[in-house]
Amino acid sequence: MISEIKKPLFLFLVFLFVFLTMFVGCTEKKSNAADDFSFTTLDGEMKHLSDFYGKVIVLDCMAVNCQPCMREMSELKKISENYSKNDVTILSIDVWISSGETASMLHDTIDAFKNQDNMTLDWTFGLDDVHGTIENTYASAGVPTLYIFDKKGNIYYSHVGYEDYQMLASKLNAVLEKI
Amino acid sequence: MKNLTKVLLCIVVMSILAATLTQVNAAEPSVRNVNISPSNPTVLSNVTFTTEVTGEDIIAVSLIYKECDLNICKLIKNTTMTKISDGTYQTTITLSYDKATYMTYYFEINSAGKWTKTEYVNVTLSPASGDNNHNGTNGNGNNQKSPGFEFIISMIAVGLLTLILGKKRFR
Repeated sequence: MISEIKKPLFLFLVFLFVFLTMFVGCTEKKSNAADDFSFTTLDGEMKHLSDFYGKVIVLDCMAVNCQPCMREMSELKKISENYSKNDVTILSIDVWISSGETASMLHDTIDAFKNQDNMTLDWTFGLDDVHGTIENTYASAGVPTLYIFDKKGNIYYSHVGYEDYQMLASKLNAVLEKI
Repeated sequence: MKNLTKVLLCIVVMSILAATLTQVNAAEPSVRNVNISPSNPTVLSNVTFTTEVTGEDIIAVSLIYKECDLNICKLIKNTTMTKISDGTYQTTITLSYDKATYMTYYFEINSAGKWTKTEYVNVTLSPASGDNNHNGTNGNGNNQKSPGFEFIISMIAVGLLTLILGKKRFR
């Protein structure tokens, strides 16, 4: 009787384990090495993601004239104010260059923050290439899409859509403690 | 004789001014009478854009749009419009984001090889009819933290186990 029960019970446990492993932690990737990419800063300088390894990186894949992206800027501003630049660096990359967005449009967006909200966005802004390389790799589901990379360049956390400061801060604290 | 010279000079100056103004207008194509059908589109529906384009040597007109809600803007799309009559262009798009609350569009006009963009315009989208504001999370692409499939699969597994054990016990 016991051996009869054991087999389905074992199968059930294996079944349960496989599916829970598959679905739990869909968003929190703890040790995935990121694909390096290059982008052009607003100063026209070519940079790579790997240039920022050694610090925790918050990658904000965004676009101009996107209200959720603008909301995200306010949250990133709080990150910028509350974390040391020696620990955390923020990269906001316009990933819709392939769809016609330009450096001047991004400039206008940053200026709009300065003029309307008296908010200086004091982190690195950049542009994807015309082929949408970053968009296709990191933000194919939409904007904003956020990533947190640990100091070694592994993806620690990702989120599609607007994310508030509390959640970002909790993830940042965790990844900063990890190292 | 002196008056005649003045009149001639005036005509020449006016002609130059008119020619310059005409050239400026030709260089800047523009859209007018944009018609969106239906005028209050719903999510996941087909929307037809019809617009008149003025300008010289119009090679192509594109509609660029994105669908957004409060938290996300979904993939920007670029659709080439079809010329349906002289100066009138049309395209029909299918909206694809079920939670969108508005869409943003603008036109790009290729006039003599030079692309010109128009201003962004927002259009409010209504929820699809029969949409009871479902908050289910199975397969939800945005909020990936909510459990969904795993719970259902676990319940099926428990059900199967109960059936198997029940059968064996009655043998």
